[in-house]
Amino acid sequence: MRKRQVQLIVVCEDDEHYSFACGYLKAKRYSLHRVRSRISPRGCARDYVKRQYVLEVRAARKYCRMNQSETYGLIILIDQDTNRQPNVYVDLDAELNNAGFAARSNSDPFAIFVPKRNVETWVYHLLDAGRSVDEEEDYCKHQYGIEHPSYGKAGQAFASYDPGANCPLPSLRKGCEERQRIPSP
Amino acid sequence: MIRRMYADNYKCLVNFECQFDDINLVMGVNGSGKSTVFDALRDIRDFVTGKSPIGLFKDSTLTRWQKRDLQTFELDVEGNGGLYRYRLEIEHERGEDKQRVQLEQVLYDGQPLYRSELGEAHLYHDDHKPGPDYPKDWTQSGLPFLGERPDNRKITWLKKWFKENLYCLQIEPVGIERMWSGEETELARDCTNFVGYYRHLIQSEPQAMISLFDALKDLYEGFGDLRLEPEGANVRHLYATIGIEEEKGRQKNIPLSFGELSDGERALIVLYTLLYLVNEPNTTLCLDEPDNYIALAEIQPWLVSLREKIEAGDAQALLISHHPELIDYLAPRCGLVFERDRNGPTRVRRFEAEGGEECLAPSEIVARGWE
Repeated sequence: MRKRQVQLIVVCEDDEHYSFACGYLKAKRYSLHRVRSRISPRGCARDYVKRQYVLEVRAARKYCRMNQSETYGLIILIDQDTNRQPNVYVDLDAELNNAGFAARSNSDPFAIFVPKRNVETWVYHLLDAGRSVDEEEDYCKHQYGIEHPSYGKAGQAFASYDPGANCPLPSLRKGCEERQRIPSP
Repeated sequence: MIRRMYADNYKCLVNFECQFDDINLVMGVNGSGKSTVFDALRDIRDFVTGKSPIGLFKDSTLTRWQKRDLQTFELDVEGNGGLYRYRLEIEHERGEDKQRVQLEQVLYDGQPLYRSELGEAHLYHDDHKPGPDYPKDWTQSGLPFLGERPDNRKITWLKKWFKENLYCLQIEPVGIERMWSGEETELARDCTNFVGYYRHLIQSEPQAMISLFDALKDLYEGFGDLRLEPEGANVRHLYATIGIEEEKGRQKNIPLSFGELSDGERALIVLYTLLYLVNEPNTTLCLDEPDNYIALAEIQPWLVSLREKIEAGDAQALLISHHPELIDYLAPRCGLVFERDRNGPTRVRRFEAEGGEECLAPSEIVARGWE
């Protein structure tokens, strides 16, 4: 059997995040044999993702340097939650700096998706792109009937989603820019 | 202890060479040739001990993409105060599935002890002066026919090492029989004859078996001992005595047949028994996936015990595993990575990874194919 090198690492807060990421990756025709996940166990998921981000960036930079790899990518999924939480992008750069590493550069293949208020906000919108949504609203999955398969379907929709001029979610628009950082399968 | 192995034109081993330490973890993707190395060791042992003739090395053991008819093995074995080199060259008649020993040779610190070539054997004394020459059957190893004499102790040591000290095992608890007729002085590859072997051990190593009970008491709550009960002429049935609390403060000992234990429990009893083999100096224990069937919490205590015994004694353990517990514990210090490029020959290299909390775990590096 041929040795298979993992191409993408997905670090996320929970199973719902990972389903969303898998939906996106399948739609983009990535083989899930080449994807490795790091999903937070129960507890403080945000802190887990932050810690893993530093560890993964360190490993990725070393791996890419050693192997001159252009096919490696890191995907981070972390909810912004409310405005009371610090900005996730700023926070993650600070984590890298505190650990003695350079902040994410434009050429780093690290895509950071930060749904606001949370991934359910994106799911609710992506499953019906015409639907009006608000980043401050909590689209609680139980209240809004978001079942587990919806996350994968929303991830697939995200793969071809064009934010255009009328996207009501700035975090989703930013997410579409982040997609460009992920290398082709 | 095996210090080096060379194999050529045997399955996926082509011009293959590997150095071994006192303890090694052999890693690699499925089909990378890990078990093939153990297969080769087992075949050499069975040939050298006279258990199997040369036909053991069937045509099907030749490397599929090679056209050559010569198969070669070399084994460097450290022990008895020196370094032995055993070399075996087998000539195959392809299509006919016929084989003959082209060369069989034993050196000790580079000096000859035995050499047979195309049916002519030359024996050397312990001081390496030439001994008798005689004709030899080229379908068999010459070593089993050498009787022990005061002037051939060196080669006798190697014979004994192959027979008594080299174990190549893959425990299959599902197939282990709960009763066995007679004693077994050797463990079968899959340990199916464990009960017969245990019967042999309890006769020859009674003290060691008492220590085994102590280890098993740590492992199983209420464990008492292992007992062999007669079940017909010369047949013994293995039972584990387990204490069960009947009422508060009152315990009743119940004999459970070895067959009534779970697969994992049976595998653990075999694994802990094997720990007593490595107390024996010069033992080389080759174990293919010892973690199979074992609860996660049980793997590391066994591994730590094995390593302690190896470090304290004069034995060797070569383990094959894909398990994260073994990889994280052993790979950084003694991991060997087997790999094949486009299904070509097996190559081996040392596992290298950084340590420290801020780094990925070795098993995670392996899972990503980054090792």
